[in-house]
Amino acid sequence: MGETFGRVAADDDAALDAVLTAAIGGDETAFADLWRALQPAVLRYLQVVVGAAAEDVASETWLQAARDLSTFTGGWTAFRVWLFRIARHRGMDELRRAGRRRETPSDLLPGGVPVPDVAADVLEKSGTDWALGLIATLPPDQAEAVMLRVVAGLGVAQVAQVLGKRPGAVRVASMRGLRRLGRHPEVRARATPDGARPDEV
Amino acid sequence: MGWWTALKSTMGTRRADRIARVDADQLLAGHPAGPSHAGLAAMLAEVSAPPRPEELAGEADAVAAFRRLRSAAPSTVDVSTVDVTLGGGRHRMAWPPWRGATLRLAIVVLLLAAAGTASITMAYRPARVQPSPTPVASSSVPAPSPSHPSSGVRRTPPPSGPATPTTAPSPAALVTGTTGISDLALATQLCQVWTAATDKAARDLAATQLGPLIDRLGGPNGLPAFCRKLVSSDGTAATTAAAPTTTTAAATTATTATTATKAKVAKAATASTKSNNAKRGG
Repeated sequence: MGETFGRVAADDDAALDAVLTAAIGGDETAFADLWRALQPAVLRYLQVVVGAAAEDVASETWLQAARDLSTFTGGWTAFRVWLFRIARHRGMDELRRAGRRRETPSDLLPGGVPVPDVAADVLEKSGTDWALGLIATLPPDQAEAVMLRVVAGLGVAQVAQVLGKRPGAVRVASMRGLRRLGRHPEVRARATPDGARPDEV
Repeated sequence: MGWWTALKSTMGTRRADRIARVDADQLLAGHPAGPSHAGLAAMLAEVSAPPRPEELAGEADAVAAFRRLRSAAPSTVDVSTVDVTLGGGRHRMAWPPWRGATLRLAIVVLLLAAAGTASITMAYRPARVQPSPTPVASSSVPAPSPSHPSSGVRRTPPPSGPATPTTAPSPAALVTGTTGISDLALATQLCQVWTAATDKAARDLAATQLGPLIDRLGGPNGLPAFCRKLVSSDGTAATTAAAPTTTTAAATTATTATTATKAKVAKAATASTKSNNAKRGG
């Protein structure tokens, strides 16, 4: 996602490690770099998990991260796992508050619970919103696995840490999610030569 | 055979659309996975597209929150809500302030107990085993005055000249036997703490360290007179001046260490006094 975030290249793990260290030490500029590097991914992940409450939950996530950052030790990858786990916990809290009556995403029905706030208007928005809306129609465990792999850029082991599952379960969930997405008519139509979205064809 | 051809065509199409594990890994990692998955790859590319301006709108608020939280004292963080281990990162648990104070007090007590035990153990070691690098000038330490055995308030003026050796055991002999001056200095410092303490708790704490010596003195009533002989009226150790030059460094080290101990005990006494006052006030 993106080439650079502020002063730091998105794929420069060494530089991001240094930024993380500075942020842990209290450097506001470094914290801003962290925020720019990960906020879009956190926001998109939460759009799939909690829908329209994503911005509020993202704010809660960063608030907790800012509060507890001084006690964090680890590298860039560990920090991303830590941050997305916070985001997931806050997302679960939001779902409980919203009365959706589920403790974990795997408790959902096989067909999954769509997030109407996103799915209803994605087609009128950007391609990113359209894609997020499609992923939000997946069963939550599949949707989360796909999002954490694709958006957060985490490996199977790190996604397993975030979700509290075994790596094999993550691999199966992401595979099933991709297959389901691949069968979706809108995605199949996306493969047309001009690359137009289905509603544009 | 039209139906067979149609079935084969359908099966072949489904097989071609089926995502292999390798393809899935490629797609999830953002790499191209062949023309048969072009639609899926395009969709995933949209998901991981560069951030839009509206997605970065809250940076100022986030940084302000960070600044606000960092400017607050670390002890104000609600540690009860902190996840100890999150993901691959090790997350240190901050201790609440009261645990830090308790730990410091426990360390002080343990250090005092260790120092007292070591001192008394050395004092009771047999003379033939314990090397005596420097004989203690017991003549410089006045003998306990039998006329005031239990006067804990009255201060005896410092001796104006060399004391006359008596048949009664001197404090130095009681403490050190044939040990080095450092044990005597430690006992002297504990006596200083005991004498200077204005709070019962602090006095009891110092007396605890002198427990075996109190037993040897025949009970706690002997401690005031003993300490008076070790400690001059102005609070300085009467025996320090008599320390031989060969052990000056050891005595200085012991004095420095026990001065810190004295300060900690005095601090504990102050805290105890405040606590007692608070209890009385409450």
